[in-house]
Amino acid sequence: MSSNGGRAKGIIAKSAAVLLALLVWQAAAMALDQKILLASPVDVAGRLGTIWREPGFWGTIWFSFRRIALGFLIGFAAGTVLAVIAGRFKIVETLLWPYMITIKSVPVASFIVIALVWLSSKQLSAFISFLMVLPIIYTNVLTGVKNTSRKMVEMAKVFRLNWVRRMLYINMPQVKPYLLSGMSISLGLAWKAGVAAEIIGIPDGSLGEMLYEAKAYLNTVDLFAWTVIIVLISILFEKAVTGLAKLGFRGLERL
Amino acid sequence: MSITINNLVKSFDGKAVLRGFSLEIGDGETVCIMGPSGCGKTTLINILLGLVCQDEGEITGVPQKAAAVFQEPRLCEEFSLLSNVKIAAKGTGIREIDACLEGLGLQGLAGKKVRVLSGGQKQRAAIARALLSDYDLIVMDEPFKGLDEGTRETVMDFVRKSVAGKTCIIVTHERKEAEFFSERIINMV
Repeated sequence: MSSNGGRAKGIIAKSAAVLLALLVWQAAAMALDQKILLASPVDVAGRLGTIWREPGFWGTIWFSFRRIALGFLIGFAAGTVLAVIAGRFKIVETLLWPYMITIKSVPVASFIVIALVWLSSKQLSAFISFLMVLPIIYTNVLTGVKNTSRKMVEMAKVFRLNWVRRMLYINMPQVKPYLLSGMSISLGLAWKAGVAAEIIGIPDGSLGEMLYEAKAYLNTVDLFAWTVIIVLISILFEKAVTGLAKLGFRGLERL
Repeated sequence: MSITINNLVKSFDGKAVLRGFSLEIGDGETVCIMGPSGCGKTTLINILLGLVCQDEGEITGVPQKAAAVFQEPRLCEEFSLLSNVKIAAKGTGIREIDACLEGLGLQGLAGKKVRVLSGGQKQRAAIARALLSDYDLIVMDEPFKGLDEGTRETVMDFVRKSVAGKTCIIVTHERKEAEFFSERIINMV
């Protein structure tokens, strides 16, 4: 079977599984028959059809998006730079180890509560996204840097390649798969943790505030609808960023 | 300036690979090194290229600008053949690059990613990279291994013309190859 045929079959199978899950959800909602406890997918779909027309909808998305995206970008940049330095200097890796292990181990809710002492609720989601992204990108890039082929490093030495060429031709191809995988994982986490921070901090006009209010007024349909919106934005953001990164790598490989 | 290797000793994990090896290579001379596997040919090359340190002995006169063809191509697989060649060919014109690729039978492949090339094409790409770099010493470790008979002769001929006047060290298992390049063949044991 061709790879295209296999892929099409996979997409059909996954679509069927999603459809089945929606049917199970609908059946469960109908069996329970209490919108406050479980909104049905039909109700949620109906709400999604109207929610985007409400005033402040796009402003709410933009509010959360720009903070979470900023946190991701700073975490991504810092994680990459620190990993490259740690890969070069063992002492830096050792010095950074306690920070990275702490960020990885401490529950995100603890960080949110602690950070609320220092930061305003508006800044919280950016900071929490940054914290979630940093160790993942750092660890992945560091693994890539450490796995750089010794033989290629020798080649670079013999041909006296400067550090720009070494980075571009030797390190970048080795780091690329680790970086892309780290980006994919951390993008989803940035959204989850960022929105969680907004639910606790409740900054005005954020996605977190919408979720909090929906829960407070027992508006389960809205709660589900906003959740679906967050998932969709998160997926779109992940696809866009990883797509751009792949394009960037492709451009560099054409140099 | 000639290269002088005096009483070189190198061991790995207590096993002696080079035991008091000495050699003098004149400026612009081509020397072929032969010998059975494990006799220290590649170690000698690595020491000359500054990739490994000797335990004892002295080497003088090794030029700063060196080029190498390793046993494996050591190319950047995700980049084009042209990019791989240009990595080392600083300031070399495109005409010179094209001529070299043509001489090595790689014409029309400049834009191809290295990972899609055959093993023989990759080996020739590695040779092109070394020949086009700015070097005073070129070291080649079994550079024609894996090339088919017809291609090998063409490539050998082109390499001999290209390295003329430069200090060149070639490691090979083939006596015919060694005799083609130099009257001076060093047998390592």
